[in-house]
Amino acid sequence: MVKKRNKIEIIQDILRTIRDKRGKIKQTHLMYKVNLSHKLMKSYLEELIAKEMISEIKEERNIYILIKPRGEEFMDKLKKLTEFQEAFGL
Amino acid sequence: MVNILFSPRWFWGIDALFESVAILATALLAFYAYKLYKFTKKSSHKYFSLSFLTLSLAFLAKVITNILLYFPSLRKNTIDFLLLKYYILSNTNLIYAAGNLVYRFMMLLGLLGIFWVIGKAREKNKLLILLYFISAVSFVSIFAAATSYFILELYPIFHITAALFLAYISYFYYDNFIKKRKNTTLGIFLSFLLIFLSQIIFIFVLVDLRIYVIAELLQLAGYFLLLYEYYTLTRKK
Repeated sequence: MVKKRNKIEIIQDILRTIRDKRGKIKQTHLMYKVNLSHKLMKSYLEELIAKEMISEIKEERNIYILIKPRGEEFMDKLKKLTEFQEAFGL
Repeated sequence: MVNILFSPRWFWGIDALFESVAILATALLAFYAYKLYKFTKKSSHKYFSLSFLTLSLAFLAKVITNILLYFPSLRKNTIDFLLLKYYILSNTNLIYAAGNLVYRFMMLLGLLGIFWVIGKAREKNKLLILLYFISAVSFVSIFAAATSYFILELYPIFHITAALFLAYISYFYYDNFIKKRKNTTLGIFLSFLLIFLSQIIFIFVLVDLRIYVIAELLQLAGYFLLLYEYYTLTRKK
């Protein structure tokens, strides 16, 4: 059985996926790679845009998601929190 | 009112310095676990943070109580009895017994919290029973130490209880290390193992005052290692 991801893991997956694509990815590709429904993806993206971790741009007929420096910093912070969680068996 | 100090005179104050490391390590872990909770909103993270905060407050209570015991009591009449030094204290010094009671209860409460979180226990009625037992243990060990020589044998009950919790916690972190095989998980396991061993040694403090020093040194090493692991996990990479 696949373990259900928590919020921290989903945000980590979103940011990591964007970073792995050199900081820019099509919104539809991101949705498939992170394996989220359109509704859930939209709510996560809105939250991350409001927190200035990512931005959205329109190029031709596609919407692209870009990671911002604040998003990169947040990823580092998340990495540490995850390591702490893992080290203390939480 | 009679109170007993188990520390050799030359060690007075040094133990308070040692315990400051425990205050710092547990407070920092409480703070970081709270940061984790703010993000995940998982109740287990909140309780983990509160448990370390409780441990930190326990050590703070011990340091304050010991400083109050060691220094103003030097002016009072003292009676040497076997290896233990008894200090005759006035009724106003009930604060000392209260301080130790706070230390013991909070220490056991903090350990119970960690035990509860890592054991992923869910049944709240069992938690109430355990809360009752740690309250009883704290009272019994304090009154054993503060009332009469003849029930001093009951004094180590606090350290035995703490050691039992720590044995489980150490085993949990050993298992966590075996599963993850990382330096940090090894460090955390070793730190809890050292703290567990210190509680085992504290049980025998009635035999010789020097045992208290050995136990304090082991406890210091345990919390120092925990502090180092905190630094490793949270430093900028």
